[in-house]
Amino acid sequence: MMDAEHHLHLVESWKQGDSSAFEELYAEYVSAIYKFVYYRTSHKQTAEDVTSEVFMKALGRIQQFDESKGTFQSWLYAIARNSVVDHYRTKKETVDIEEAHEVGENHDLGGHVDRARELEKVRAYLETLPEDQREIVMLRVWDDLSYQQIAEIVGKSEAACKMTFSRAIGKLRKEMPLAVFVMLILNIS
Amino acid sequence: MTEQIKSILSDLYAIDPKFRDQEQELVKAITVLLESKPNVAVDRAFVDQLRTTLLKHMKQSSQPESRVWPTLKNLFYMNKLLYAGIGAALALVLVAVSTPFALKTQQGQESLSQANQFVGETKFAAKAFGSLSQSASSAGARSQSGGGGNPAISSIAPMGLGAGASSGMPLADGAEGSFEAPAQASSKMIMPPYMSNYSFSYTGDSVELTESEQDVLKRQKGGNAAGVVGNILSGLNLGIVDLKALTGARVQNFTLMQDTDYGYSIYVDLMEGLVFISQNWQKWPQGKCRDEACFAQYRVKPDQMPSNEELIGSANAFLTKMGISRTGYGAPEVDASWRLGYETMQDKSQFFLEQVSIRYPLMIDGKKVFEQYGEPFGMMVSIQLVDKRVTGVSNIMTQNYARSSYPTETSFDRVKKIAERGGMNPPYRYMEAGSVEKQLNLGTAEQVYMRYWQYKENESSELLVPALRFPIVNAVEAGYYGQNILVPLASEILDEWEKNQGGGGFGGGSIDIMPMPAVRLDVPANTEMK
Repeated sequence: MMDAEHHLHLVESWKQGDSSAFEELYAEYVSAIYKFVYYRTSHKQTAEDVTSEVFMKALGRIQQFDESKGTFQSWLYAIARNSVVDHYRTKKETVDIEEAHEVGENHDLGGHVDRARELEKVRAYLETLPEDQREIVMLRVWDDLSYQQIAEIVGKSEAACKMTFSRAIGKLRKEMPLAVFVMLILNIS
Repeated sequence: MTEQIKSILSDLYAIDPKFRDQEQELVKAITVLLESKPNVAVDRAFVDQLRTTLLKHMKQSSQPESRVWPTLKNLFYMNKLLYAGIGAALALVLVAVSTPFALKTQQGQESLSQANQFVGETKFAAKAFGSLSQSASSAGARSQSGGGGNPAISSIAPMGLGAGASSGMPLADGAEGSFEAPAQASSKMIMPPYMSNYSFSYTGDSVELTESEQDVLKRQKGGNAAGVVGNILSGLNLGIVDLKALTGARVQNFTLMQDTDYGYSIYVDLMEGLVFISQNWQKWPQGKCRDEACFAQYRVKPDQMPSNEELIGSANAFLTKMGISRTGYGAPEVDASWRLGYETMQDKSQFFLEQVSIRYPLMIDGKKVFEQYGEPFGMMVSIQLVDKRVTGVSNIMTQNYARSSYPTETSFDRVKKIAERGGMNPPYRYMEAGSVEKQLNLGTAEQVYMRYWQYKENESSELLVPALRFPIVNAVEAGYYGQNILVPLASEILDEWEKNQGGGGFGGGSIDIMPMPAVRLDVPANTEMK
């Protein structure tokens, strides 16, 4: 991960029209943004389309980015989050917006069908969480973002995000059946 | 427990210390969540395509600059070092002539950016690049190593420049890619001489060649860069000579030297659209070494080598810092050709390395590009192993190609037969006693592009010709330096090659080498040179 000063320098250079600065930022974030979108859409083509949209929007709005309001990373992720929501809004008129935050499927079974089934059960339990809890769990555990970044993306305070996460983890710990744990731990360890 | 799990737990304990009582279960819950994360990787082709689209969009929406300096800065997308060097050298020129040249550079900048468009949209009529036949050229074919004992050298560094390419061949003292002659070599380190005669056998699957015509690509070299820079400099009166007297002057090439610790030398060929970066030796510690002990500080044993991830990370970081685009190149790979020399050394304890190369394979139409002698072609970044500093970058080139279709071979059998002869430049066959017969197996062929040089009226053109690559699957075991046999699919090239068979010249059949009696070698296997 690049250091903050270099990061800021790149953003400023990009704003001045430096395409190599843009390329460096693009290289840094394209994979993470793609995965962020894929976790929420479960579809490769959709993930690619939305990722393309995210970067096109970033290209068009970079002059409006204000570092005093948050980091570039959070800004980009916020665009991605909104793009996923927009995608569901425009593509499916009657769908519940919460489908936008459904957990992704793992299409890479690798021959371990039983294990994949158990992992699907874990994802199913994630979907039993309230939408805000599920989103924060995914941002923290799957997207590996800090609470500060999560707070900037979802528009809440850092403390609120931490509290939401702790409640979600506590709920999962209590409600996920022991059998699922045992089977998974035996496979994982 | 991974760092990520520790970090998440730490957050939880900060919220509510009572979570500590549930640590084991929390670890399980978090582990399970991590394991349930969809295993997904972004498609590299998508990443490259999107990058190209975004850059085009960015270029279209940016305003043209009218200053002289950005014109030079944007040459080949390399700005930092170029800025430092040219800025200092041309400071007086800019002050004196900036206004009148501003108007000229607006026009020049369009042609400079065109030189970097990568695979161009330009499609010419069929056979627009003329005959591909070597006999139609004014000069002979570019010499090729043919494998089998001579290592392939992938860089095309101009004479006298230390371009950072891995030779893949350990020097007499086992140093790989070193440009400084080390101290005397022990006899134990030298490869035992033996003569191997190689035969080739195709063991792969049958391949269908369905297209009777395919595109040949021609690289459009430096664009108008040479003329634009020449235009700028031609207004300069140096006092001892008035360059204004030279009308229509073009700058062919120049070299910048960075006068700082670990500084670089950059050679820019504006006509060819090439840039090479190498060490400014005077500014690197090894440049001051005078004895073996000093040189030894910069050597590592194979088991001390940094991981591939670390090496590639260093190379990527350097390219990014230098503003060298990776658009159009495939995933970087560490050049492991040194391993062949290591495996064939008698006393492996004497083997060491100083640097290794990272290759960024050039990709065109989703296919890799290869040299005629089988080495993959691409941008090469050399890294000094002891501290992972980049020592050079070679084959930084403008990537702009025009296309024209040519008839191509559709009989796989015909192409396979050529491959089983060792390709169009088969290796030498030794006649004397002691020579060893070895069979090389060729794996399933795949379609690639092959670099091919066309010489016409004292000018050389770089073409990319559709070809089949036959990987040599047991090269290392057989002690063979080549990795692949390349056979071009352009019918004209194949027809000419077959016509020349048995008559020597380009692509003639295997050549028997008869040594001079004074150096006749009757060397049994596993005998050291005295």
